[in-house]
Amino acid sequence: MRKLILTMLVALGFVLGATAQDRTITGRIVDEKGAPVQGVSVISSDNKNGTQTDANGNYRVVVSAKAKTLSFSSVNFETITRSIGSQAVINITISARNNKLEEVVVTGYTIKKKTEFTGAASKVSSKQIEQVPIASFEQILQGRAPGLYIASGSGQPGTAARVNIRGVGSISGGAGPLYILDGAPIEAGVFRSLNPNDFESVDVLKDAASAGQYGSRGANGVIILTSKKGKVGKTLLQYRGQIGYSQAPTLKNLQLMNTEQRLRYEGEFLGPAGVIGTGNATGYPGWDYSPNNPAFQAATPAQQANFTRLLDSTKQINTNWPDIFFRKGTFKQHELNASGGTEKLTFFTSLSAYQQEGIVIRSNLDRYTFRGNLDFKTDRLTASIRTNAGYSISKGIESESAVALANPIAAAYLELPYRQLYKAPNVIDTGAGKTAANAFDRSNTTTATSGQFKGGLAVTLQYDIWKGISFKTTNGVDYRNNNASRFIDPLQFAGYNLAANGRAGLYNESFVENVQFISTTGLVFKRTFNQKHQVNALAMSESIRNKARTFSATGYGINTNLPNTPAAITPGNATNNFIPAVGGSKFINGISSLFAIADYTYNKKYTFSTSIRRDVSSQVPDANKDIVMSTFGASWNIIEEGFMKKQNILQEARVRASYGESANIDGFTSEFGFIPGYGVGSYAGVSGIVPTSPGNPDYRIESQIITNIGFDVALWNRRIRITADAYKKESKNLFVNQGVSRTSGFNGLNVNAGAMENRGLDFSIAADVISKNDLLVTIGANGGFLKNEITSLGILTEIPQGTGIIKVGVPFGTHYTVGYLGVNPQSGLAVYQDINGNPTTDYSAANNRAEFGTYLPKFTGGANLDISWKGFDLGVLLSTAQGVYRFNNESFFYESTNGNVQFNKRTDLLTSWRNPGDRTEYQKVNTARQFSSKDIEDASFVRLRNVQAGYTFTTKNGKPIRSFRVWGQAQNLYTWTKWTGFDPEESNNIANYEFPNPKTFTVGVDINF
Amino acid sequence: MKVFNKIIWVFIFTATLMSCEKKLTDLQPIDQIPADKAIQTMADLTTAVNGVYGTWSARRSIYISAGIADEIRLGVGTEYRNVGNALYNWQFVSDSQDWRDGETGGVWTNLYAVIDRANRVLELGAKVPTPSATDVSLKNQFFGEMLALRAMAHLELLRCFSITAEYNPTALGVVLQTTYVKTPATYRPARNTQKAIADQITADLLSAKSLIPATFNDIGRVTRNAVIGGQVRIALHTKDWQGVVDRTNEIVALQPLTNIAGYPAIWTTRTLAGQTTEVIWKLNVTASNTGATVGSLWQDANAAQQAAPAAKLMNTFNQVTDVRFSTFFKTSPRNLIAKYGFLPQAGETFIYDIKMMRTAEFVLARAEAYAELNNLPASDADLNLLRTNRITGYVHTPITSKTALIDAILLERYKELCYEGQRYFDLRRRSLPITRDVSDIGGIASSQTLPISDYHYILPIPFQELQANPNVGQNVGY
Repeated sequence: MRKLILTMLVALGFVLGATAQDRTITGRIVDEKGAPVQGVSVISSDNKNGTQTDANGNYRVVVSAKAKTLSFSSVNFETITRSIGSQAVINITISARNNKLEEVVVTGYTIKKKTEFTGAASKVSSKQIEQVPIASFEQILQGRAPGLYIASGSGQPGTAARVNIRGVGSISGGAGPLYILDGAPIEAGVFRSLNPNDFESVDVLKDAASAGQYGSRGANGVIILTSKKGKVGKTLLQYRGQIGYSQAPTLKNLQLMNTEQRLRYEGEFLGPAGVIGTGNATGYPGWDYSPNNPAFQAATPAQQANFTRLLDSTKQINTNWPDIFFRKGTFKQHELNASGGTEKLTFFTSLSAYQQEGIVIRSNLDRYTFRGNLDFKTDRLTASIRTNAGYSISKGIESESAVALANPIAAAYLELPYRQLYKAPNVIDTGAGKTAANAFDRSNTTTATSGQFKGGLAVTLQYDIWKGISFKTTNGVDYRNNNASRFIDPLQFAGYNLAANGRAGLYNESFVENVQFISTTGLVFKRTFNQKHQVNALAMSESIRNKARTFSATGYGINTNLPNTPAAITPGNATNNFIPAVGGSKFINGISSLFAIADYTYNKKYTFSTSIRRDVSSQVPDANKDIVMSTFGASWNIIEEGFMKKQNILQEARVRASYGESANIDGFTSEFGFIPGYGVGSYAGVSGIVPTSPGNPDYRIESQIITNIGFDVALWNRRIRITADAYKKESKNLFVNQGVSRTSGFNGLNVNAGAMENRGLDFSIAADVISKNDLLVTIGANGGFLKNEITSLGILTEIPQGTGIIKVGVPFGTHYTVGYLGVNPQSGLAVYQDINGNPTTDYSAANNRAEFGTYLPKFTGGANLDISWKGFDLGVLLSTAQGVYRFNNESFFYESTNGNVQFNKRTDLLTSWRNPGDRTEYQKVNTARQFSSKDIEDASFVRLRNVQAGYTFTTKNGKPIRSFRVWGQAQNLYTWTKWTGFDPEESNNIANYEFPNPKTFTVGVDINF
Repeated sequence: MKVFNKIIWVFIFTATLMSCEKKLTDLQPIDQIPADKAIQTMADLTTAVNGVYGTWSARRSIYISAGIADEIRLGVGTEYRNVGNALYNWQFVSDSQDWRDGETGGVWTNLYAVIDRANRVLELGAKVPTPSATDVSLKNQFFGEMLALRAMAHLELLRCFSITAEYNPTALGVVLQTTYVKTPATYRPARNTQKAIADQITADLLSAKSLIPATFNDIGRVTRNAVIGGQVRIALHTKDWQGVVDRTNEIVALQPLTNIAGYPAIWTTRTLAGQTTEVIWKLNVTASNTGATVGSLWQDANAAQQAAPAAKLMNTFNQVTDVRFSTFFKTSPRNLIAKYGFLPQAGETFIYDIKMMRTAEFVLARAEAYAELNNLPASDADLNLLRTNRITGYVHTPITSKTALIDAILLERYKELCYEGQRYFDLRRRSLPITRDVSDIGGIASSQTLPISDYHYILPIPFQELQANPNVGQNVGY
């Protein structure tokens, strides 16, 4: 049977071959400069024959009569298809593909040419992302994309930053963007196990026509990550490595007392004011041994001489506590990647190891990552497979970002300079009140380790069915498992201090598992009619499921011979107090969607785009489950108009507008907040149940309408490129925790009562100021102005939240405190403002006002300078946030004198008020230091974010190494700011001894084999 | 045929999508029991009842009463962390920490949570099937307990937040809550009159008394004896003197006073069993709810003292013969409140059950009622009865004047029931000023006497309630 078929086929082929008339077509391929291009694949549409151009760009191909077109393709050039007709010679000028990244916008569901794009998006390319010594990729984007605000709240390696696209659009829920990696969503805020070097591009989607395609997930903008893929041609092997170190930022605005100053302060201010007690055994040598002390006067001359001697010897001690807690952290990164492939199959794979020590003792991150990307193509099927796996181990500091003496950063600055770390060689001077020594001991006798595995898989298959219609499916999974352990040594001070748990240390293991699945399946249509009407459309169904589990177990009574293992735990009972603490949680949610996206372009000039989407979420009650949203966009590519052909000023000119609705699935504060529910309670250990959630049948998703108008122009032969967008984002149905009558058994209820508005302007401008011969100098600037206002809170007008307030008419994040005017020169008392702004010395929280700014910046942006000359390259990046006000809680400790006297003070406190007539910023000693507007500081900054310089050596053909680049860089080199705390850049409204962002210096080499 | 095929395909595709959608989005919570499924069986009912008991944080009223009145003095020096400062010095405003949700003194929020949870058990539990006769009587008992808890929580609120110092039937009391709130977002109730509240309390207790069997003797819950105790309290509060006498007679017969020999054990035994002492009702405290302990109000785990016994109180005792002095206080290494443990004491954790009702309170209530009914010998006899059970070798000198008797009875209540959440209310229902010993006020002269004319004498409705529910109205002055 098989033979028969084979014979028939051969016969058929013979018949066809005999009837067809083969022809030979020749031609030459040149690039835009007229230079011949070698290695271009030439394939006819009958798929029979193919060839490649020779060194002179010439080709010769035999085609059958069935062949209608020839296509010319190459790695570095745009693919061109030409109809054959009756021609025997087809010469082609092909254009380079290297601008391609600039020209398309990846929206995840679609890839749009920028000339036909109706939305607002910014792109950051791999060149700007690679090799920056930051573990969490989103921080690398700072200053790179207008309207994208990145604020890192911690210099602990691997910690994620706060990310807002075009401001904050939620009051109590999530306001961070959606992250899509190769078509599948990845968990926000967990990036430390991903290798940023694997990313080819990052597209930041900001408006309805782009982010709006994501419907209920799109309200906060979308960050699209595209990982690298192999290119047809020779297999490329690359090694990249860098080494360097990180160090603490310079604290030029914070001056604390040294030993001499502190002793003088004790003797002249604290002691006489009666704050530290009487006699000469207060423990404060500056007072105990001071001639100002009445006890000194009463002493015998011999005792007095002894006091003076003791004071002198104390003066010899000048401990630099920050030097003890901060360090130069080493940095190392190695990466090996390979890519390449054939027309049918390409691959990219990479392996990396990353090791970064934090600038505070104990802090570090080790990371190992793998990526394997595969693309294959047949006549009708294209498939892409994206896989990544990463494992990282992070060691944290104690009580990070907490006003706690265990926090080494607090301890380093609060401890007195005349104290010492060791009381005897290698014996740390721990004990009650020994702030820094205790913290240092704690750093060494406890652990806080967190391992993280993150794996991702995204598979996209597309099958051409018929006339531009194809079937497409993307399926992905994002998996993350954190496994943390904590140990407190029972033998040391920290372990003994666990009074409620038996004073014998602890051991804890906890895990968090997070899995997201996505499946997007449907039909795609792409066709151009009459060469003028171009239609792209897709209709898809999408299923998303998120699952998470957490569990934590802490045991006590650690056997001293078994450090740092759960085997050391002693079973607990009521008398030994070693009762273990165990707990955890599980959650699940899902979204089911149907959506269609379509756009139409007429003659390359006019583009209209629309999307409609129905999302059904598990997180709202049935009545509000259907969430239907639509978006519209239009753009006019003016440059294609006839009247523009005559001018030669502009090379690009487009205007764009979009409008649409999206919703915020991250706005929910719990998975089932709408259901009235019971949870576990207990009556003295006997199990019980209690109502835990009042439920809300009117619960709905937060939504928003965003309007965007923008333009893109390029002039001076595209050497100047400008993009600007104005937008208005109206968010409504925002969750507000509205207080309810306590007679209901509950304190508050989440209701969809809030509304806020963000208006702003984003721009970016780049200019190739010098572009001749081998020298290219590009300068660029980008930024976003933003104005946020809360427009409604339902039945409420304001919700005070500690030192901040949510209030109608003022921006989100507004500070709420009592106004401070200064120190009264006559009385030495602090002068505050009453509710009307008038001076008063009476401090009352009833005089809190919302007039001291917000921690959300009014302007964020960046500026860059890039120079390349022959093999040399230089890149400089500045980033900035302006109009930021933050509450500096640290000042309270440096300035309060009626308490907290055991802590070090600002040097300027030596100028505190003493006598009537003294004009000073520091009130009389031993008067209450209140929280006031004095603590709200301008945290605006300009930061020299990154400077990188390198030189690339190219070798002659045939050598094992094709090229290599050596380079060096500095990260966070300098910061201009008025802020007096550690780091003006932070993710929240209040400074509480957070881990500052480090300065990092590295040198590296990239070797291409 | 082709068309038919296509229709079939479309149909299958749509059906798949729909089922997929349901599977994805019609989810049931994992970590939460939907309220409509929470109470379906007798076992559910049992846990829900436990949940109501676990909600009552009795130390809050103890803290308020001790802090505002004359039972304590504040801590001093660096160990004192300002605990109770505003309360003690009568400087509180309506959003002071002492009234806020979740704070030590947040009585309003806590007791309404108790009432709400009891109401839920009563309403959601009504449908629970009772297949056996045991189930029927158990369910009756549960409902009786819930009605009694609801009544006693209302009484506590009435004593704390009524607009007047003494009971005034027509004046505003608090919000009466006999059902659970279905639409909290829009629920903004006004206050009811004190009589309306008192009538409901009386009715609830009467029902509870018939529902709880006398055989139920777990003093960690509300027994029938405790219901009777509640009846005495509401009668005393509303000045139904005969009611006080009748109900006390009933209770004293069931759980008589504990004598001198047995008395210290009431305070040193962490968990008392059954109806063997004069403790009628207590709230259990174990290692799992250490946050409920009373002793930790006065001293923290590191022994830092936030409150010490008032000298005024200590001086009322005969320190040698009165068993209460050595039981309630420690004088070495310094003056300490020892009623619920003290530091330093080996193994001290402050874990002691909280006494909610003792026979002593009712004997003194009966004494007061007899005096008011002008049965002075009976009143005097009750006073003698209590003192005989407290003071070694006590020799009674009869008191024959009504005023003197009532004064003596109030003083005896001050001594017997200190740190049990009664003192402030005893002064209020008699419209007596709060007066402290000069040695107790730390040199702040304004903290010595609080006349009833000062608005701070009446507690404010918490600001958070008022903000959410303006209809409740604030007490005068705040």
